[in-house]
Amino acid sequence: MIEELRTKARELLTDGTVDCVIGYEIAPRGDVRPVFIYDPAEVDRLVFNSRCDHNLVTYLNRRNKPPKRGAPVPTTGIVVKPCDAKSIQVLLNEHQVDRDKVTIIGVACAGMVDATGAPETRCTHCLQRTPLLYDVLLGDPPESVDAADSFDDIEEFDALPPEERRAFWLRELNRCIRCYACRQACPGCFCDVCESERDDSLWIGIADDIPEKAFFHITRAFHLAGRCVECNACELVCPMGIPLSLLNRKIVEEIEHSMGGFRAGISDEPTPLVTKLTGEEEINEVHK
Amino acid sequence: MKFISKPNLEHWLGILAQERTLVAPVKATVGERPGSAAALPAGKQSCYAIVDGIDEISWGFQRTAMSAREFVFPKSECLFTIETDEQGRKTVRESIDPEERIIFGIRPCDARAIGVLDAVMLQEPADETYRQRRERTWLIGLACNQMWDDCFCTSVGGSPNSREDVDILLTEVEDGYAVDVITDKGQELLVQAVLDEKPDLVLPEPVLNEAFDVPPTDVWIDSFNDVYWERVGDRCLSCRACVYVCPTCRCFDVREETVARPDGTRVTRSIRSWDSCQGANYRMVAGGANPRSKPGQRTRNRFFCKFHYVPVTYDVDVACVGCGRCITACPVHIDISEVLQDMAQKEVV
Amino acid sequence: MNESNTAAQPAFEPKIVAFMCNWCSYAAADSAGVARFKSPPNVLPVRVMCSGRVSPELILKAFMSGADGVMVLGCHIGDCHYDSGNHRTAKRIPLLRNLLIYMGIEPDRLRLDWVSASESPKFAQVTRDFVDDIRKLGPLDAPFRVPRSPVEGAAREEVLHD
Repeated sequence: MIEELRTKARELLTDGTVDCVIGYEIAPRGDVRPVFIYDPAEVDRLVFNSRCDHNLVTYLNRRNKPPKRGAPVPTTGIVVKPCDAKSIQVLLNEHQVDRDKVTIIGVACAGMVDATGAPETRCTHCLQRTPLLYDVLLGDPPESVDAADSFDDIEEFDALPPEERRAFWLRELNRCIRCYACRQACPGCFCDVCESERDDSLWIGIADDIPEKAFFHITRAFHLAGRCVECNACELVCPMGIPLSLLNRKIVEEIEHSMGGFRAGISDEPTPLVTKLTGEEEINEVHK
Repeated sequence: MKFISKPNLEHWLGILAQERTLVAPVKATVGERPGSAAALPAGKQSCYAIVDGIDEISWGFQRTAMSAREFVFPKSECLFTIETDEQGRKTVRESIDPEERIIFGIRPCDARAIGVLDAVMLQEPADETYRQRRERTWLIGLACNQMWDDCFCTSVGGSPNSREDVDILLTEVEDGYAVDVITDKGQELLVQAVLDEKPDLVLPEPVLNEAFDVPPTDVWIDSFNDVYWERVGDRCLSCRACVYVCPTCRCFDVREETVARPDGTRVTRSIRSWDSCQGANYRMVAGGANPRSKPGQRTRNRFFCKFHYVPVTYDVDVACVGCGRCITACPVHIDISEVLQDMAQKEVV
Repeated sequence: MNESNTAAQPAFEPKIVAFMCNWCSYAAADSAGVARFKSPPNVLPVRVMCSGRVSPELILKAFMSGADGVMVLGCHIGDCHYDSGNHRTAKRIPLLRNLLIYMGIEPDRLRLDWVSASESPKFAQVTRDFVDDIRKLGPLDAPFRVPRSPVEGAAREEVLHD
């Protein structure tokens, strides 16, 4: 499958379909990292294995504008797993990416593993083995899928007494250094100026206190309502190891429960939180 | 050679924790989540924190996720306040940190980093807030018996058992630690410690990683417009993790924030907080122009600052101490040692 | 025992911020005042043109700034001056509320209700009830009201006069 990937990348670059192929390579120290291939002679750097857990779609947000005034918008080939392809769907729904400028190289995925070799938690919840969106599909989807789409971890956390939940989030927020790595890695966060980072401190200032951090994380989770595809990029990049998916997936669960089973990135429908008005909205009771 | 047994060390640290503020390496608490399979890598498992007692100390730590920089240069601090009363009279109060902090277990690279911060912050006119806090800080160093995965201190002029920049250096030996008293400040601290004399004590040689060359100044200057920096920046998320874990970074932002109270009084706090040159709008100026609008320009700035700008401007050979935290923290594995080796291979024109 | 030391602490009076839409609930608040229905003085009214304007940032900022409880009062479904603004409120506020509950904040601190312009007694009742509920809950603390980095000591004090 890797040979197929390299051949395809070479083809796309040589015939000028794309200016650049974004994929994965192995760094000198042995870790997998994103790579940008501009020269067809370098396609042998491309790999794909079960440590390719970055969501590369976040880079598309930079490549949807011309690099200089008057220059054309760059064309990009991008290697995507099923979860990443959902991110592209969300960006297409929100008119952030021009479909004609992107060549989607989808790969069949058996799930990613962490540094110890254990399956990543998010992959145990994912039932998709091939991307829903692609221009070319590489690899054979694995036969059996050892996963169950559930919110067990969210529900287990929800069942804890409120004081424990509060103590847990206080401890986690205390470790947050507001580096914004989670926001930068998320394909859904593409605002030019983030509300949490305004120079005039309109909402929050620069102090490293818990109220500021709580504001940032709650607001970001809320802004992803109906848009988060559960790729877990936020949690993977956090330098402090904060379990952000425990917060962001809660919103995914809420939207699914209260808005007719909606999940982001599956269809061409944008988030129902702002678009779907059935006319029958009433004040909802707390759903538990 | 002076020696302190493990029980005597624990006893002495216990006294210090009671009388002053003791900072030591502790195990980082990780959120225990149901069904979590994620394990923190060794480089993220501990951090420096204020401890009340010695049982909180994590003795087997390698290198902490965050450096000890925050104890001489806090993540955010209030520099001064302006209180305005109902009649409009203003009182300015300068903020002084009265705590005396002892940082135990600081690695030689982190201590050297504080030396770099000293060179920058204390150059006249000195940063008063930093100076006062620094005077009330003691550093008890702990030598490394080996270099770890991402470490490269020997490539930038440091070493795992360097005696520089600490008040006392401890080296682990059998049953305890060899004690090397470097400064008078350190001597004063040891008054309550029970030390033995062991004239035949031989200090172990630390296990080193392979060193590499750091390019000279000319190479940096010549490569400024090289497309290499754009390529490094392609991958960069501008997430700032590298800056926040770095022991020598010291850029900051200052903002005044005013809170009006119902009784007609106001308080304005001037807050200084860590900032990062990797943030997209770090170099944006009034009018909206941004000379470092591309990630490649910002990544380039970080390397240049450490290896060229700071050495040229301040009394410091190199502003990177080779701790390797940025290598561990970078989510897309931009590797400073890789960049340095790539640069060293470029020829000086 | 020294008498002055045993002076009773003032009872906790909650601070409430109420976001009210211009056309319905704010009008109701106004008429409640004219008709002298008893409404508690703890409520800080913030008029918005439509309850649909109330974003999570506004509510979180209210909590951070000292509110112990926040109310959002809008028009009844079907009566919104801008057609569908309150539909958005109806979806947004319960979602935020569930997220705050998940973080360990008491559910009753954020309340959404519909009050039309002619329902001034309802306005008075709803605000009275809310203030009573918050009074029982006590002041809000974590995560929005955690003590901030303190000002340490004072080495130098300079008094400037305007």
